[in-house]
Amino acid sequence: MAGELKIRGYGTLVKADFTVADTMVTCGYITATSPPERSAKTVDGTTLADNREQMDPGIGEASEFTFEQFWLHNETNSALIDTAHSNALTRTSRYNLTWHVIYPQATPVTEEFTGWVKKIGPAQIVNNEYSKRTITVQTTSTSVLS
Amino acid sequence: MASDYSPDVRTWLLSISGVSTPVGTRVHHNYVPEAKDSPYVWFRLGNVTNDGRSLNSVAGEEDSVLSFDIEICGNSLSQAIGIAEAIRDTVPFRGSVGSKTAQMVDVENHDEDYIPKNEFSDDVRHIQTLSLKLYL
Repeated sequence: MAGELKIRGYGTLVKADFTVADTMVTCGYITATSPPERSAKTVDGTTLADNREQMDPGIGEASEFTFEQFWLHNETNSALIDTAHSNALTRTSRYNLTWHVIYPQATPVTEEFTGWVKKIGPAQIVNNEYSKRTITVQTTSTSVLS
Repeated sequence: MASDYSPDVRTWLLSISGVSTPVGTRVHHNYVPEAKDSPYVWFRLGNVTNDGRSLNSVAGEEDSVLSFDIEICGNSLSQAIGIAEAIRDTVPFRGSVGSKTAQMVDVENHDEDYIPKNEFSDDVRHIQTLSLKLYL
């Protein structure tokens, strides 16, 4: 383990403070996750004198964070997401959550950001495959890795 | 924890009257006893896949799809086909498999390049091969 220069996804954790601020709860049954992009808008600063576009850095973009999860209605892990989405729709209780994506390096690295559950997208239900859904979180802060 | 489903598959196969009537109790797992009356059914665990793994699965988590090779050795081609048809007519199936529970059991014909393991003597054998998939 120590000294590894490449890591696999197995062991990655996704956590959020679903019910109590700063009390991070692990989301179970996640099969894949796409951490939020760190991206900036561009501002066109091209003048008449330029012979090439001048694209300057603008403000940070509000990116999305997604993960795929096995789905079983009313199971604890699924219910946490359902409640977070309902809270976001009504802007009540806790909806702008703190999220952690913890990467399984020898010394684990935590990516922290805030966001609300924007979309719960059920995958196509297939005869001989497990039912899953894709969760999309709209981030409301820039990621910080520590 | 990973389990041995072989005794359960045997029980399930014997619960199909189109199997148990012609073969009696001659459903053999992995080996064929020396006194091998025909017809009989032979099976073994083949491939195991784990599409049920998550990023934080724990050691010993149950495998998700177990594939069993099944060979039906009959006294005649029509007998072997009849037993194979009886198994095919039972799937797709959802429920108890022996003492375990399966979300689905399905059966397919084996690939063309599958070589039956029960063709080991000069005797003429009428063999039908199936691949049984157990979805947990």
